[in-house]
Amino acid sequence: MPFGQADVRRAGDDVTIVATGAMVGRALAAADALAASGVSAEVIDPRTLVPLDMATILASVAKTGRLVLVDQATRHASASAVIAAEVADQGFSYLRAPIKQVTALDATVPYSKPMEDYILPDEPKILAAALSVTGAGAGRGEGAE
Amino acid sequence: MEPEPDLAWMYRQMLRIREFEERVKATFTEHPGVIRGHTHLADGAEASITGSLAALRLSPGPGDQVMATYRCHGYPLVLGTDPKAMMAEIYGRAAGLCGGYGGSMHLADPDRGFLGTSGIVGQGIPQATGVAYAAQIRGQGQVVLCFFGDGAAKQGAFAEALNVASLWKLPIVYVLENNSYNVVTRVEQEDANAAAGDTCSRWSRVRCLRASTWCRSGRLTCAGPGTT
Repeated sequence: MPFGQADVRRAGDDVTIVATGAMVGRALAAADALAASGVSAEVIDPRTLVPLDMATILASVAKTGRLVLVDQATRHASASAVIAAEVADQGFSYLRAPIKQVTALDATVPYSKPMEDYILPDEPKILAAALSVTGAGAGRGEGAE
Repeated sequence: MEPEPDLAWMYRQMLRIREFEERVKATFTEHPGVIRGHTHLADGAEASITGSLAALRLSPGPGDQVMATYRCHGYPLVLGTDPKAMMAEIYGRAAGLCGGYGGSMHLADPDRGFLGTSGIVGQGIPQATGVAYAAQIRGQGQVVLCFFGDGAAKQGAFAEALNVASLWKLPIVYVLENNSYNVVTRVEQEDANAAAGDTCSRWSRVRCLRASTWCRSGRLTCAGPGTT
């Protein structure tokens, strides 16, 4: 596997979804659901965070104008927060909507299955975040918070 | 004079631990997935748990605290935690001891001095030492019992914790539950002292009780490496 070279797992035009680790599969599933709603999502797996392939991510955001980040980690000091900051820094003019982060809640992972599911990113949360910036739910405050 | 242990009470506690854990084991094997992840049982450690905690019972102090090994079900049972709440916690239920947040490996009952547990072997040793430091600062005569196994004693933090506890004369009793195995490795293969022939004597409930009681009666002037 090449270091510092992101993998574009699915091509799309309306929204860029950058997902890491185990979240890639959930992002791809969400992209399928988005396609059913008429939204074309591009899914990128950075594969390595250091070095981070910002060129691929920026090129995608330049095309779609929208960015959703999916990270299993808690939001504070997460890879997702770093990528969001880099895109805001280097690709601000590309953005047509706010960057959305879908991360675990800032909490310890609980033992109980329903509570664990509650705090981790899943397909409906990714879907809601993508729709909130692509039109179907845009402007109605249906973010991934 | 050393107080007499209530042997019937001790036997009852050992039996309760074994029965509780047999139920956990049966659920774990018969209904996969109901108990998530893994669970750590303590077959054979009933006596060391009960004997040591019997010392707290014989001369209860104000707000004494207990740190368990990662095989943690027995300690709260002896300390008086509701077994139903414990079992509900192990099942991940809202009615559980910790509201379903902890599960089998993270039982905690601070109201009864049960500080909490972790699945990480030996992690409780430095934490219990910190709790003892806090107890010393509070100055209310609290005592901490810190349990760990012979395998956990190979953690680097073990030597560091005992060193600082001895230097600062912290109110803590370290209870080494030597079951002769580091998971599956014999003590002679994992312990340099044991390999050299200096075999640690195996625990017995009465010996544990005497060591703990002795520390209590001396108000922990004896707390330090090699005394328990």
